[in-house]
Formats: sequence, structure tokens, C-alpha cells
Amino acid sequence: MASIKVESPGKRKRGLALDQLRTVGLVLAIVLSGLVFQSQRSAFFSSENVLTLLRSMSSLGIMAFAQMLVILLGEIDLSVGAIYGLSATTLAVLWLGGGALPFHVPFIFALMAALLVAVAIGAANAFLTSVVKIPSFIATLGFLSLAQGSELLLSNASTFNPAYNTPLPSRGELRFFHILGGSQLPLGIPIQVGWLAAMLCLFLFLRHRTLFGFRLVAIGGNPTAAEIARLPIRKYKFVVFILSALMAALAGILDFSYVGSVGPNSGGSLVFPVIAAVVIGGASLNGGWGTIPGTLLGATLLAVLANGLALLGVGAFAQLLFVGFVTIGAVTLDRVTRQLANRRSSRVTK
Amino acid sequence: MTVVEVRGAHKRFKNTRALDGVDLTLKSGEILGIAGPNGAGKSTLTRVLSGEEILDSGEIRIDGEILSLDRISELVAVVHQEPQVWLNLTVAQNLMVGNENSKLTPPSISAEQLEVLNRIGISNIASVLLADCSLAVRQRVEIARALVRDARVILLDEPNSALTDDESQALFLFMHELAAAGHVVALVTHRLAELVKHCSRVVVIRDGRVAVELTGAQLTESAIAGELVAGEQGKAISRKSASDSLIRRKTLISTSRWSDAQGSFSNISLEVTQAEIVAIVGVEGSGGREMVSALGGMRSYSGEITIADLEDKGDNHTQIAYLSANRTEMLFHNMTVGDNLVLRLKDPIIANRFGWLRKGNIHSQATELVNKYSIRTDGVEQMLTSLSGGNQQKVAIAAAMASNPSLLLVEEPTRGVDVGSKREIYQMLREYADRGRAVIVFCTEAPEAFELADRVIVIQRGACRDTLRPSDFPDIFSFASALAKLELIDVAEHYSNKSAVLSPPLSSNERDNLA
Repeated sequence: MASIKVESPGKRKRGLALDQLRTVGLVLAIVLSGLVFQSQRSAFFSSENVLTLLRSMSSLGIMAFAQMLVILLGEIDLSVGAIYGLSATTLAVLWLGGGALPFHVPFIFALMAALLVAVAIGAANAFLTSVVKIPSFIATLGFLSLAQGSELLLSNASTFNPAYNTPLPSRGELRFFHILGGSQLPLGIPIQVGWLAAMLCLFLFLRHRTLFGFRLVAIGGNPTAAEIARLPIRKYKFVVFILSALMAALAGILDFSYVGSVGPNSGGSLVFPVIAAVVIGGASLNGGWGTIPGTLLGATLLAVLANGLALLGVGAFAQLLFVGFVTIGAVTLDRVTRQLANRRSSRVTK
Repeated sequence: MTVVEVRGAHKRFKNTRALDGVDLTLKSGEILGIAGPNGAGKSTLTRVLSGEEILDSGEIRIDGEILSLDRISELVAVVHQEPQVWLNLTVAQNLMVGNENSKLTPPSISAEQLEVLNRIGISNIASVLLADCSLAVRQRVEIARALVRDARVILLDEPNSALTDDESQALFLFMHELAAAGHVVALVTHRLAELVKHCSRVVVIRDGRVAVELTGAQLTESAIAGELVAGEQGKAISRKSASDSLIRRKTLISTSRWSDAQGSFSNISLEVTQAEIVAIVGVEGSGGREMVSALGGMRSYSGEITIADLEDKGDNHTQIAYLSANRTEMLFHNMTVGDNLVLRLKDPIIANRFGWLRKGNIHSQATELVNKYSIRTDGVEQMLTSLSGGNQQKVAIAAAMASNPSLLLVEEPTRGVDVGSKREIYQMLREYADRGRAVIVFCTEAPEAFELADRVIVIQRGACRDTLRPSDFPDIFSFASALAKLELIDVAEHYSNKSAVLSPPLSSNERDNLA
């Protein structure tokens, strides 16, 4: 039998304070690490470097926003890194020819096919999770491997570079391709920063201003109650997993456009930072808690560290160590604060 | 000889006094029955006795000594409705967990453990995986674990609510054996007939205290039933029958040949009219609870359910809204009071047709509901968890009512709720029915059915046993004893013509595994 659990009326304020504390803490961490880097390399806060930093975090941010919705539902999507690579490769192989395919198609069709592949994987993830009821950890882990394998088979593990391809694509197509992710907006702002801002707005509204976001919070917070209240749980899972896959594809294609080439196994290392950004941003892997601004801050912190450490000349391998430490540290700190705040529970468990 | 003494036990959870000065003595060799209405403190008492919870004040002495929590939980074992055992291990391995006696080699069963299995009558299935065993066997394994660690006190908390007749009979026989062997045994149950049959002494807990102790000739079912509801006496139960304003009442919902897919109830014909509150009453396993959740769409069924159309639908109309007995299953603890209240609403109210949230509307709608149902909160922006249990319950019910269902289904509407909120919840439900809608509640307590319902349907073993109209009874006592009598007949049938079975009947799987 459930015991009567009554909590003090101060809880709301404490909850809010905790939320704000986390935000303030994240901003502080970002500013502090920025200042440390600045003191070592004066170029850190230059407008040029800030734009570079923002551009470099655009893929991470776009994928993390969608991942946050998945995690808000109490699920997880591990296949995003593989979808990132598979979409870019699908675009390249279909558009440029080569790889395992004997033909090629106009850019626009290749682009649509690349996005469709992502939608299909997202839908399959949702189907396995919500209909077959496989834990999303397993279902998306399976698709991580499936997508990676398909990518390698499709491309014959070769690298594609549109500008030096034979036959050379038409100039219009090349131009359009370049504009997607490699061009600049006015004031020298990389277009990827524009994409990041656009997706930030989209997800900010989706999560915080729509019925969709409202019900996501409910479904993730208490799936049983959501079922009793007859919320469209299955439909929402499909939408969220498809969004996550689509954002991974978008990020993959934008980076392909920016870099100008795509090689085998690109994006494979993105899963960890994406999930780390969401978790550092305060989302709970149990579902029901998580905000887009938090996720943005989480992604920013990771990007600042990567950028600053690169400026200091710390190698990529050592950077991995830092990212690991920061992720564990941030979540530990969060947990400890929460436990301190909840310590006044009268219930003694042995 | 073991004696457990509880003296002046007090325990409170923030605003609720769960135990308010319990004095109780448990002696070895006898079976003590513990009865009490929901929320009276039975569960807390069990947890305190078994060392899962610390007392605020007062003491528990076992053989005159005050022991540490760890020592208490070694000496006292609770047999739960849901046994706390490992389904992924065999019967024998379940006994070894924590008593392995080996570090490097895989544990093997010791002589004492084997003896316990023998004593309990399950040594023949020692190597069967517990996942393949019936609930009765799992319960025995839980008892066996207690005996292996030499527990002296065995508390059975509604142990047979999910057992078959044979299985519960076997369990009770074993319970008597334990008592005869010098263990302190206590039985917590709702089934009055079992208390009378098996216990030499029964205490009734009410409002966190031992209200009365019944022994010998005093120990009858009607005496217990009377004591269970005695607290309600002074509170002047004023039954209100359905409002007469609706002259022509339409049948809102009717079922025919309605059966549960898993066999919990079968062939039920049920009719509920407008402005009527129907209480479904039945012990655990009778099928009453399952009926309500099947109507709510949470279980699959066969047969027909017809729901009539309402003329005055109201905003956001839905046909059926269902609330389960478990508050944590109905509410969203990660959201605010206001969000919880409007969550079942749809398009025009909380969002426009593009799915854009209308925050102003949400706020005003929620505030209106808070005022209408006098939910005590500092504002709709408060987190749900800041509310008391009773107010959370009101939020859940108000949220369901906000969607204007033709039929409102509530399982145990006032479970774990204080007396004041109880009254308000009854009023909420009555006012809702008066709007020309039907309400079906599932009750486990006689006073609740008496106070709330126009009609009480008693469910037994998946069928309607009888229908009572509370208005036919002069007071709660006569109603409660009429209900208890219905149950007595049932239990008497249980025990007639049945030979004693010492070891629990094997499930087909267990038989297969032996063969």
C-alpha cells in the first residue's frame, strides 16, 4: 500500500532554485573556462574564434536538441551518429555515383533519398520501441550497427569529394550544395550558425510552447498516467524518433557540405557528446525532465572545452579525457546537489 | 518464547499522523490478527515492526530488548502480497542468497537450508526456477528465507489476496504450524472471516491507534465490522441520494455478456443510469477491481458495452474517464498543479488548432478548477509534489472531471486520504453525478460505499453476488454487517468440504520440471 507522502510546501521554490542553480552553474562553467582559455590564448574571445566555436557546435547542438526530446520521453537514441554518416554517404553515392551503385541521380533526389533513409530508420526505431516494446537502448544500438554497415557497404569505404569528382556535377548543383553548409551569412557568420539558431528556435517552441512539448513532458514523467489519460503515446514516439533521425541527417549533410567531402565512418564519435550535452543540460535519463536552453548550454560547454583545448594545443586524445571528466563531473554535481536538497525526507530506508 | 512489545509508537509523515500511540503485545504461539480501514496505519505498523521504518517516539522491545534496525529486520520477516524474491533463481538458490557460505566456489545448499525446505514442503522442487513457480510457492520461499536467517516473528500482510482457495488454505495451515513451533505470527487482512477463523486475538487499528482488542466470544465478524466503522459514527454520515431534478433518467451505460479476457469476471450485465453513483465492492481477486479498469480501457474484454449519447455534453467531452487506485499512476509529479489539471483537455482549450499552447487559457482553466474543487494550493504554478495527499487526489479527480466524461470511473476514490479530504471528494463525486452523468467507484471499505453510492454491487469470484441499496439500511452498522455476511457466505463455502493440503498444489510448470 502506498504510504501517504506529503512534502513541505517549500518544494516548488526549492525545485525552481535547483533548476536556476544548474543554469547559473553551467553559465559560470562556460564563462570560467572561457576566461581560463582567454588568459592563455588571447585569441579565444576574438569574434573570429567565437564564430568558429559556434560553427563547430552546430551539428552537436542540432542533434542534441532532438535527442533531448527523445530523452524527455524516457527513451534514448544511440543511432544518431551512424545516421549522420549514412545520410551524408547516401547523398554522396546517389549524387556522384561510384561506391556500390552503378548509377547516379540529380542532387535534389539524392538529398531527398538521404533524408528518407533517416526518416525510415527513425520510424523503425520508434516501431521497435513502442510497438514491439524493445528497450530503445537495444533497438537504436542495433540501428547504430546497421546504419554503419550500410554506409560502408554503400560507399565501398571510399571518400567522396564533389568538387573533384568524375564526372563533375553541374555548377548549379555544386553551388547549391556549397550554400547548404559551407557559405556565409552577412557579417561573416557561417551558415551553419544560422542553421543552429533556426533549429534552436524550432525546438524551443516545440518543447516549451506547443501541446506536443507539453504532452512529451507528461508521457516521459509518468507513462502509466499518460496511458490512463489517453495521451497519444505511440504517435509521439514516432514523431520524436523521426525528428531525432532527421536532425542527425541534417547535421551530417551540413557537415558534408562544409567540409566538402565525406569519408567512411564519419559521425561515429558523435553519439557520446550528443547525449552528454543533453545530460549536462539537466535532462533526466528517466524521462520527464529536460529543457532546450539547458541542452544548448550543455552543448556550448562541450564546444568551449573542445575549442579552447585545441587552441592550447592539447591533442584530440587528451580532449577525450576532458570531455569524459566534465560529463561525469557535471552529472555528479547535479546529483549531489539534489540529494542535499532532498535530505530532509523523514522516510528512513535502511 | 518470544515476546514483541510495542509501546507508545508514534510516527508521522509531515502532515499525517500514521501512528499515534500504538500499544501492542505479540506473543509466540498465538496468531494475532490486525484489522483496520485503509489509511489507519496498518502498513506503517508493519513497516515499523519489521525495521523498515524508524519510530518518531515510543519503543519496540523484542524479549525485553531494544534492538537496532538491522537486528530487527533479521528477527522479523514480512510476507508480502508480492513476495520479495528472485524469480531468476531456483527455489534453493533463493535461500542461498546472502547466506552463501562460500567465497570462491559456487554456493551449494547447506543442511539447515535443506531442512527448512523440507519443513515447508517444497524440497521436491528445490531446483525449479522461481519464475516457473506459482505465487504460493514464491510466498513460501519468502517464508523459507526468513526461517533460514532464524526469524522469530512472521508478519503476513494480506498474504492470500492473490491466491487460489487451496493455496490460501495451505498457507493458513502452515501459518498455524509456525505459531505452534513458537514463532510470533501476525496476520494483516481485510477478510474478516479469516481473522475470526484463524486468529486467537484481533486488534483493530483506527486513526493510528489500537481501538479495540477482541478475543474469545467477543471475536466475531460483526464485532470487527462494527469496530472498523465505529470511527465513522460520530461524523454523522449524511447520505444524500441522487438528486431528483432529473425526472427522466436515461441509462448511460449497459453491458451484456461482458467478460474479462483473463477470466477475472465473466458474463456481467451492468446498467448505470444518469446521476447515479454505483459502488462495486469485492475483496482482492473477486474481479471487482478488474471490472472498473476494464471499463476504463486498461484491460481487454469480450462482450458488449453500450454507452448512450448525452444531450448536454459540455466542453471537451469524452465518453469515459478512468482513475486508478494508485495515485502515483494517475498524476505527473514532474509537472505543476495547473498542468496536471488540464492535461486531459484538448484542442480549443489548452492549444489552438496548430498545436500552439494557450498558456493564458491553461492558467485560467486550472485556476477555475482549483477554486471550483477547493484544492488547497498556493497557486497553479506550484509543483504537484507540494500538495498533500488528499489534495493530490482531488487534482487527479478534477482533471478527469474537466474532460466531462459521460462515465467517470474511480478505483478507491479516497485511498490514503485524510478524513477531511474524504468528505470533499465524496461531495465532488456527488455533484458530478448530479450533472446527469454516471459515476462508478470501486470500494474496499463499507463506509465509503455506504456514504457515496446509490447502489452497491457486491462482486464475488467474477460474478455479481448481490446488490444493496444503502438507503435501505438505517445506519452504517447494519450496512456493514450485511456486507460482511455476504462475504462470510463466500468464505464458508471456501472452507467447507475441503481436506487439508499441507504442501501447496504444484503448478503445471512445476510438475513438468519434476518429471
